[in-house]
Amino acid sequence: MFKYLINLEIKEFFRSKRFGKRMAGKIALIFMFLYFTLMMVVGGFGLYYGLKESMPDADVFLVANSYLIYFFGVLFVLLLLMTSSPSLQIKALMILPLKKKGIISYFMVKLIFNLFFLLVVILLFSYSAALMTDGHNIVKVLSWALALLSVTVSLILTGFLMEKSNKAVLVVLLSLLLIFILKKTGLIDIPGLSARLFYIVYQNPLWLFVYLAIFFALLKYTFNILKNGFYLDDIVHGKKEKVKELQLTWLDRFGTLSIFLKNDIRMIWRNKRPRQTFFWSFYFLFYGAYLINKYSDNSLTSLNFNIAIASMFITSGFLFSFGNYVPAWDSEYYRLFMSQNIKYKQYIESKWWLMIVSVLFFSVLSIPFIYFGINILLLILAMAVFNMGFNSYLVIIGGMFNDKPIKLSEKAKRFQNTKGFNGNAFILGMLRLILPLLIFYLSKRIGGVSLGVGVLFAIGVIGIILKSIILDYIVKIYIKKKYALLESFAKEE
Amino acid sequence: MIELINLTKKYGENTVLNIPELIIPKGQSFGLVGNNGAGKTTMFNLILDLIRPTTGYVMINGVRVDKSEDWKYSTSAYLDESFLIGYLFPEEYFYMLGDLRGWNNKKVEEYLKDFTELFNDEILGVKKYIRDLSKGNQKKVGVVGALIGNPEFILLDEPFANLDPTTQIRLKKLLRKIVQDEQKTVLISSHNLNHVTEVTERIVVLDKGDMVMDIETNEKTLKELEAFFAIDE
Repeated sequence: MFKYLINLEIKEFFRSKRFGKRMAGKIALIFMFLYFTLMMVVGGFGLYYGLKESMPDADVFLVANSYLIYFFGVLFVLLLLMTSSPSLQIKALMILPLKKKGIISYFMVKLIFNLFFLLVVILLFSYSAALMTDGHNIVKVLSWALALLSVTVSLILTGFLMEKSNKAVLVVLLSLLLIFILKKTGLIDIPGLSARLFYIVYQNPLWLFVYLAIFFALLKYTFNILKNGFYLDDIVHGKKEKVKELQLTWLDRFGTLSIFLKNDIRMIWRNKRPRQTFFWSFYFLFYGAYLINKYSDNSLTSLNFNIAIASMFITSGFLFSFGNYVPAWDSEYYRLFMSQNIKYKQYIESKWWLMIVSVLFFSVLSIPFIYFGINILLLILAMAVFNMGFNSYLVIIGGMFNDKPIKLSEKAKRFQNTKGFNGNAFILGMLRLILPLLIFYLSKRIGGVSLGVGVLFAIGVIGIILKSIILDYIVKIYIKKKYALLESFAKEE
Repeated sequence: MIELINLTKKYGENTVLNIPELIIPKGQSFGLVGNNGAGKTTMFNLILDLIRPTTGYVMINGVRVDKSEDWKYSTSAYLDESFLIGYLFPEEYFYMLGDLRGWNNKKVEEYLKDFTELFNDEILGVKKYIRDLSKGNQKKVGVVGALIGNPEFILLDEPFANLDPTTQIRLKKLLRKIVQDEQKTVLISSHNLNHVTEVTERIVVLDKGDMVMDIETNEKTLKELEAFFAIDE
């Protein structure tokens, strides 16, 4: 049965309409993988023997264990950000004489054996080999490694569950909060806890069964969730509920633009994926607040790098997270927009206004930062103006490169990839972040903080004044790419 | 007036549409028939500037569709579900289209009264997103959406497919009424020879991208068409 599914998969890959792009991506990935494999093999040995050399008196294995929890923390974040759950053409498989169990197992195998898992396996293998060559007990080392593997797989499954259900997100967030509070109040010592959690398996291999039990429980749980969701009405249609209407008549005063603004607000509010993205933009705000809280020392002139980056983040969350996919959000009905009574410029302008409104919204939310000093607020506002007059355009240009269609409706995603990644868009994204920091820094070097803030303001204001000219230029690029976008958006992944 | 001049579309070596010249005068109701793959949808996509022609061009009211966007004021279309916005209520969708064509909500509401029979109480006021409607009801929303705002040129791809018999008959009645308006040019593609001959005054048959028949509809048209499509038996 796996044979058929693998066969289908190979055909799907080689006959994909995006074969060229995907192949190039895969080749790059293979090289990266080989490189990292080498790193992991060397790293495993290096980690053990290197640490041993620098701390000849300590039990370096115990030391390594005490930092494992951070390793898993980083791994979890990487898993969440960099991996995406595998996609399967589920609808076509449902009525074939294949066992549900088989299809789901196959899906889960694909889910678990991702790049990071393989790298962790190699690292563990190499590290365990180093342990054994240094005279550690083979059985004990192997149980320890297996326990760590169970943890890795459990993390992958947790990440998957988080992607599919808000409850899982809540559970993870609450546990993180709990750990944070416990740490703050000094009730637990994280390295010590980590050492105890993992070293215990080495001391007594029977503890391995606890780890395996957690792993199997999660595996079973995920399996059941997938199995219960294995119906057309869950995968394809979603729930059909009567829904409340949104009152958006207050937007009418914006004229033609209000048509699109209303539509975008409805799009964000009524579809899971854009809604998630919207909430993501608050993370930027909170992260900015966190950085400012940590690095500002109330001395009025010291606006250091961390503060600058934080000021950037505060107003740009929505711009970056939502703006990145700007025409792609409309991919499902792009053909309608392209043949309706809409000039391209009006369409692009409405998107630009959406960005501006979001920056203004976050600027208003940033007013309490005056608590940290007027300079910080001024920098935040300067960054906001820069976002409006410069980054907003970059965002709209960058969005064009994200030509993968986005499926808005929520339940369609249980078996589908929900994240997209594009190199060009990524580079433009970095540019949006680095450029203002660079500008601020260089001008601050030359003429102090006030010049830095002033230059950012000036660039932003000029950008806003030149709006019409710049948008005309962007529209030209968009019109050139119109057919290519229409074609891409019509392709099913 | 819609003019297709020297229009071809090729995918690699494969020519999917080849129309040396086709002129659809203002006010005409125009039917496009042909088997699967004959190029009907390709032709509509080209008229709406959704795909790029290999050679030639399309003009609507003297404006080249790939050079200017002015034709959008006078043209509307419903080709498939990608012309619907799934997360809107049907009302919101109609209001939006009305807004874009300069009709306020009141005018849209007034206009929608003509479709009470067609909608059969399953579309308006049910508080369901368009994506949650049945395929047939989605089609009704799309077709009616294309009529809102008094467009001069209306393109409908397979308007009768997916509809129940009663709705097909109601829609036919409705289209016949619209077609009588001298100001409106309606282009309909269909597999259903019966319906299309009843609604339109001119029929073009496409076969593998070529125009093989261009006739005015009369009592004999249906027979001629049936004879044409039965050829392979």
